[in-house]
Amino acid sequence: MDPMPGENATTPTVVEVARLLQGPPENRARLVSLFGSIDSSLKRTMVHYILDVPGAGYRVLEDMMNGSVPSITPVSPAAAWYERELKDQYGVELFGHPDPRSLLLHENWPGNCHPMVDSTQAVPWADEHYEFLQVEGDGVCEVAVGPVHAGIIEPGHFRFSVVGDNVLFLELRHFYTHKGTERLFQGTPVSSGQMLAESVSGDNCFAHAVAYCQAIEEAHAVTAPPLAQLVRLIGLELERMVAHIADVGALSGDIAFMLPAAYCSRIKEDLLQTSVRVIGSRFWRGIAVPGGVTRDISPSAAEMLREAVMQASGEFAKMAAIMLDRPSVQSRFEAAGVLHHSVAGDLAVVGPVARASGIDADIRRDHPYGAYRGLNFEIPSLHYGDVLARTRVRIDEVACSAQLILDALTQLQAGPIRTEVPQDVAFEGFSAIESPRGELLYWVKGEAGMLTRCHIKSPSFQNWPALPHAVVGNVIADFPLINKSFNLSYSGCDR
Amino acid sequence: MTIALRLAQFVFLLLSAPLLLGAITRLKAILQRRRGASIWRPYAELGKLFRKEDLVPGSASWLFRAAPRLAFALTVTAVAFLPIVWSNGLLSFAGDFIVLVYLLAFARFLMMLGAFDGGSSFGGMGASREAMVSVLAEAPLVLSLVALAVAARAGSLTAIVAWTGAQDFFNISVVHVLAFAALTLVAIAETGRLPVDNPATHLELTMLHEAMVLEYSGPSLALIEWAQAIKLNLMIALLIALFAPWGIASGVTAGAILLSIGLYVVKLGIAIVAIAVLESCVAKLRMYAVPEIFGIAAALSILAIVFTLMMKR
Repeated sequence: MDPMPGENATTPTVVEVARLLQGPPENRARLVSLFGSIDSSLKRTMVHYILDVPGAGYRVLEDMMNGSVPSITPVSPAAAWYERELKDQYGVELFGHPDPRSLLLHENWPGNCHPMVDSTQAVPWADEHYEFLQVEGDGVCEVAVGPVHAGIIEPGHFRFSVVGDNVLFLELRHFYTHKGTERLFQGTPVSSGQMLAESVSGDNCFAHAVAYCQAIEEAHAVTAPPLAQLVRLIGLELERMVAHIADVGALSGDIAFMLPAAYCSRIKEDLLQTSVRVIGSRFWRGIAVPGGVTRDISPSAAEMLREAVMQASGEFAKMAAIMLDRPSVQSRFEAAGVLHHSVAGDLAVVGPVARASGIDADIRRDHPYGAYRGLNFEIPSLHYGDVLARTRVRIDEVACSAQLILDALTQLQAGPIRTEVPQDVAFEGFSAIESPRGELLYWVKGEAGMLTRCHIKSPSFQNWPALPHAVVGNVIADFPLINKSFNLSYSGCDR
Repeated sequence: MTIALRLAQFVFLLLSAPLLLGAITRLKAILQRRRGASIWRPYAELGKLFRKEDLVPGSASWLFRAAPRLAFALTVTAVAFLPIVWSNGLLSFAGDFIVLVYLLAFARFLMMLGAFDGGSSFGGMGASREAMVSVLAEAPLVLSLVALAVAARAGSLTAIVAWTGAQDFFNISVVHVLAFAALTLVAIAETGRLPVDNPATHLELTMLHEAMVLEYSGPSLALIEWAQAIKLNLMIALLIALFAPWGIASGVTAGAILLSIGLYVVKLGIAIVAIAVLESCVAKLRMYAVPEIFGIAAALSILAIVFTLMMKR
């Protein structure tokens, strides 16, 4: 089957990508990321496809852009936002894309200025046009929410089409926090790129730093010392614990059940303060560097962390049980915002959201990295796909992460924490990790200690398009709860 | 002398309203093992808002600013009918409890107009939700008050309270039990408390009352918040007066008045603790479960009316 409607549009690479992405859900590849880069030596633009092929691991396919790119969205809807991003960044035409409107660039940005190829100095204020999709019919109203909200939260625009309180359609308009991070990476020294990575998504900053460092190590064919890998594992799992505890508390707060919300924020704060005493930073900033980590965990600090983690996971489990026992909580969580298994699969959703919709996928187990190699641990997974399932997956993952930290703490042994990353070589490579929100991938390319391209596949960018599918059919008053149960990052998506 | 007492209790109820809110918020914080803000904070909040600029949306008419002021005046007027520590309200006449209900309804109607006038989609959404709540709340509110009036064979709140106060607490009629249950449910919804509405939320899509007042700022917002606090105080005072009036002063002696004040503070304290504990134990209801609460309240109040026929007098 030829998926591309355009004449002469297909290339052998795209045909291969389309072939891999098709088929029954258990046999087809999963689209991990799709992005462009400029090959400076050959003066041409490339498109990169990263796929997760069942049984064969990650596979990277590359294709040359000849001004236009055949769209694979008709085959794999998960590619829709990636291709729109590609169009905005590189100014390429998309063949056969069902929705080629601009994604990153808003009305105030001139449509002919593409930030990855054109100069972004002194860009004039433009007045472009953006058409929201419209639902027609008797009694259909549009409700526009954001980007400025009543609370202090990140900016995003949500355009609801409702009849009464029932949502018929939801269109997202994001990228208000687009900071041009991928462009900023170009020309950044390899040795300081992790600082930029840490600022992509505030609550997952250690995951971003580790993913960046691993990609650099992968590209230079070096490995961090075992001790550094263990420290990274502890940091990553602690970050996951903090994120999930905060999420569960916030979910409770969203339905105005303040008791667990208050307890969860206290438990989270305890863990953050323990982090300061153990490693010197609440959010583990400045710890991960290419080649290893900057700080070791001393035996006394390890003991302190062990106690804090045990106490936090015990208290959290108790509070979570109290919360889920409440009939009033169950009536709000159950059957709210169902993301069906097939939709989640088609949109290649990742992380706890995927695991709550019956997709048993976790990068730590499926593509083990660092200290996760050879570990055997439980991945909680449910098939209900509702707010309750996403909450329960997070609650179970907290216990799992706590156990991983406790195990890792017993294995800490003195040793080197950093290896040298060679300079003066051309490099290219990528690495994926399981961040609290799901698969996070960094793809890096550069030479002589400088980055020429760094692509970030953030789990939020992948999962945002799935949110409207979970919201449609619910009452609009339940939207904040459903949105919170996804808990996607705006900054991480917008980059 | 008595007019001074009647006036004093009226003014007391208006001025103590923010303190009541502060006490509930503080108690909820303590239940969550937080320290919580000072119980005087609502006064500081009102003071701050009164000193701020009153921003009016460009598309709004005179109604936008008039609505909160009129609504405040109507709420204050409704307070005048209540006997609190002294057995007579500031105003009292046959059928005054019906006037009280519709003064509050009118205030609500004005606020809805103001919300629509503001022109934001949240104002309209909040107003239509508020309309749903007030339509559903009206029947149980009026019916349970009528049931009490029939039981007492009296036409004014003052007379109903006087009759109830003369009864034996342990021999209270089933009418009162049913009407109490119905009125409590209505009071929770009317004052925008949990589990019907969350007064502390920042999530504009889940709001009922708060969505309506999102566009307001400065003195207008201060009047809205104060009126909302007064309404909560009024509802609690109404419940206390109708269902637990024992000890209320009717003679002008210092002892009787002090006893009455002391007892009232105890009753109010019980109400505050009850609200704080209830609000700490439940999650907010789904929006479409709210009518069910009113269905229960309406059924209870109709039963109360039916049972007045069987009461021995």
